Amino acid sequence: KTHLSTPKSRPKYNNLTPSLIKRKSALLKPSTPLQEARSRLHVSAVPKSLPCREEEFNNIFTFLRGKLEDKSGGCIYISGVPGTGKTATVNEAVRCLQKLIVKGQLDDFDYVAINGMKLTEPRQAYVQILKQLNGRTATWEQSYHALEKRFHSGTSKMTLLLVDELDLLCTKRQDVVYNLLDWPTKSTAQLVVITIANTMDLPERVLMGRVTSRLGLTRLTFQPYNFKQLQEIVTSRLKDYDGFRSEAVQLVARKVSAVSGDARRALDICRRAMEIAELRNAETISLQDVSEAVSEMIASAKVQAIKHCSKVEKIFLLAVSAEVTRTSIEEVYFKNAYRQVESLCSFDGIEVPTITEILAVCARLGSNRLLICEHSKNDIHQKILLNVSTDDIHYATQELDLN
Amino acid sequence: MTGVQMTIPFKITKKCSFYGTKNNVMKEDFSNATARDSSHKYTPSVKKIITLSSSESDSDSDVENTKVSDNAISVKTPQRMQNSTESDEDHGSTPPKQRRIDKSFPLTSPTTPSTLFDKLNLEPSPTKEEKLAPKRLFGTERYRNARKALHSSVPDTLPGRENELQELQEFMEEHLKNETSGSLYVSGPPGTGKTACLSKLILKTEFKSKFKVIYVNCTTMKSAATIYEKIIQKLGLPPILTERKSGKYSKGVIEKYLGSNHKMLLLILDEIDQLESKKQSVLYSVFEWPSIHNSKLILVGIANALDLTDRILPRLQARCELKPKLMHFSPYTKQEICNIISERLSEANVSDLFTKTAIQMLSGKVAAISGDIRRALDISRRVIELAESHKLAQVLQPTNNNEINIPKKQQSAVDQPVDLKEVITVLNGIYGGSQNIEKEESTFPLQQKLLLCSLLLILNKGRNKDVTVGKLHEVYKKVCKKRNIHAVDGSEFYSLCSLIETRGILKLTRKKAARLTKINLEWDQEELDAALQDRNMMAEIINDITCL
Repeated sequence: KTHLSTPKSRPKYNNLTPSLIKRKSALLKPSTPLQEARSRLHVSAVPKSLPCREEEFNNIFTFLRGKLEDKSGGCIYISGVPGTGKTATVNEAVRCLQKLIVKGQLDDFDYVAINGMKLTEPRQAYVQILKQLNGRTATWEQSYHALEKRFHSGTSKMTLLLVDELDLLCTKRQDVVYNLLDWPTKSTAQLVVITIANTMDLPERVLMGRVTSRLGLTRLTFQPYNFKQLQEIVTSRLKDYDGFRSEAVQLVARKVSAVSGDARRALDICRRAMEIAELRNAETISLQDVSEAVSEMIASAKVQAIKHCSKVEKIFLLAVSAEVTRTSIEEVYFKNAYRQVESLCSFDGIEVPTITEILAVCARLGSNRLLICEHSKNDIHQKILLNVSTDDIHYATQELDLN
Repeated sequence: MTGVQMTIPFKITKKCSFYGTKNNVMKEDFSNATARDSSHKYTPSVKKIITLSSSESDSDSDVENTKVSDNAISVKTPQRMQNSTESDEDHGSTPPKQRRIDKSFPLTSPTTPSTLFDKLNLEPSPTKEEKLAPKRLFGTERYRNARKALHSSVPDTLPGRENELQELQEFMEEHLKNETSGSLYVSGPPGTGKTACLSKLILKTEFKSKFKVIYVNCTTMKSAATIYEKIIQKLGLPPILTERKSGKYSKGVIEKYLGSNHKMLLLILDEIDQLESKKQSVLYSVFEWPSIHNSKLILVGIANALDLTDRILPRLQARCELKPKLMHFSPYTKQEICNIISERLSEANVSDLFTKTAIQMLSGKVAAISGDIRRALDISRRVIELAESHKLAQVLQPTNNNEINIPKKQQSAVDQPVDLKEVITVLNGIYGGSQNIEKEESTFPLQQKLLLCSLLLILNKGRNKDVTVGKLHEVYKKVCKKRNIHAVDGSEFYSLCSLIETRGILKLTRKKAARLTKINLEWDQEELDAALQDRNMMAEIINDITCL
């Protein structure tokens, strides 16, 4: 037997753990309190306890603990808009349960987490689950049979399965979702499935009747954070750092809660405000920094883009919007738009560009998505759609001095 | 009142508009904050729970560690040994440790009535109870028993399905006696006990000995044609070599087997509508098997659709011997659901947890909506869970200290049965729909409210009823401008639409450009009006034709 490691023989050993290249130099420690606070505000830094989600945490925790103690299978569906702490809360609950195992108050359980976004196709879910259960990789069919065997012959160990982004596992046949939700109904399975998705009415909207029936009615909705809660989240992350003015935090919280109530975005804006303050070499983050960060984040890039267009491009945009108002139909033919260009130019005494030039202008505007146009092979018969509102065009071209 | 506030001029030049309206929001939020606090009162914080459990662990850890494992019956009959070796594991790396088999899967291995009885371990062993008594909070044991009793896996008894069981049994026995083939199609909405009935039947000893039973759930198939291989594998025929793995060949193998002399075969295909294929060739061939000369096969297909055989298998109508016998499982009636729940509770000796009226209410509601017993059991479990958590919360609320708490628990030994109130709250939470938003109205972001109001304005007063994102955005911007609110730009607006879509209020029909995406209102307008409770401002917007 030779011990050469050809590429083919390598994957057979499952004892290789994938590793990344190490840094050449050590990572710098945050030197100033501002930098330290900024690293704490990073979205990836999950805090010890999640503020403003106590009720949901208790719900999930008691549900899971009850199921694990009863040794019975079950299913819970958690929904809510992005950035409201769904996955973080579930992970927190699982961590607490694992602590209980260490204390000896709970029997051991296997924890498996899969994410629909990380799967190339729904059936790879079986492969992932098996891989996390016993570290073997197999094709999805083999994995499925192994899992089937495991859940049909009762094991003494409970299994906790977290399925994130459930809506991506819903194919036309919905066989994967059906199987994942059918296993807990077997009395031998001892499997608890936690499913997470954004849509509140996903079971009624997408899933088949038989899948919805198996999903059950234990449901939990995470509401978007209101501004008080966002404030609490940011201040709890800042801990004892007092460089961030409280009214600045409040401004961020109010801005974000009015739009989406997404905690990630609030944290991002705060971090950006800190960066801006750092550039000014300021010690504290003031309202100006925050409003600058907010306007960066919620900036309207389109108006800026129109402002920076060339003269003829602006004329063409105006022409298209004039044509839209004339016909009151959204779709405009190029030839009609060209006619408007002619009249606009003759008003202002500009030499009228040729059709080819205007076609080139149209293609340019189409490529940066200010317009939506067809392929230019249809020449003057192509249809053009405005991708910006007419108000934006007029607002941006107010200062347009056509003389 | 809001209108007055909005016109207050602010001395800040930059973005003053936005402050003006935000004052509004603040008012709401404060009123709401008090509400939130009150709800906080009875929810113990996370830390509390953990500290409590840790204090328990000090006293009881030794007890916990010597916990009796559930009565594991490690039966190893010769037959089962064979089974385990037979199973072809081509990846051949089973975990080497010997697995204990405490519960055998009903469809592949023999189960005696006693093991069946053990499956529902409702009576906690007395030793266990003794041990847990100091640790458990009062009443949890009873709640737990109730929860266990209301499980939604296959039960031992099927009340309310006696006639169907009888009919199925007669059908089987008749075919057994005459040694003829037959096919049966069982239909019914989800959660009406189709699979449960058949699983129960094939566990009967008289059928077990006389039939070779094959149960296949068709959702587990990759595609329709792979069903043949699965059946071959279950029949125990030699597996087909890879180069001949075509559907046709394996079909031939099965038909040859059916033509030969064999034991009576009972083939149950669950969720048979998953076998739909091009021209329905698979389903046709499956339903033609009973008519093969001297085959002794009873085929049972299970699905939800009432008319599946007529709709997608019209050719079966032509020959009488091919036509499957139809059998429908109707949704459970109120009385049946009532009986099931009360029977389950009384089996576990916790029938006093639910009042009669609460059960009546619950079953009436479920029967009126779907008649799905899984739903009914789910809701009843949910009610018990909620009652339990409220109880825990009450017990934990006064103090964090456990020692002081224990006498208190003994005093409150009156176990409150679940009454109408709890059931109604759960039912409203599930079937409420838009009513739920009213509670959460505070968390409904302002911009989303404005968006919905602009949409209502277009739908009510506008001429053109098909709304695109671009058009809605223009109206929304005018609405915001009028009210001195900072309006979000196009891309942000589009993401707002999709956020509202997750609540199920809108439906977006995606087009190639975001601006052209069509918006449909999924709720009716009265519902939405009720949900958006910010009456003054909203009513103003909805009747503001100038913004159109």
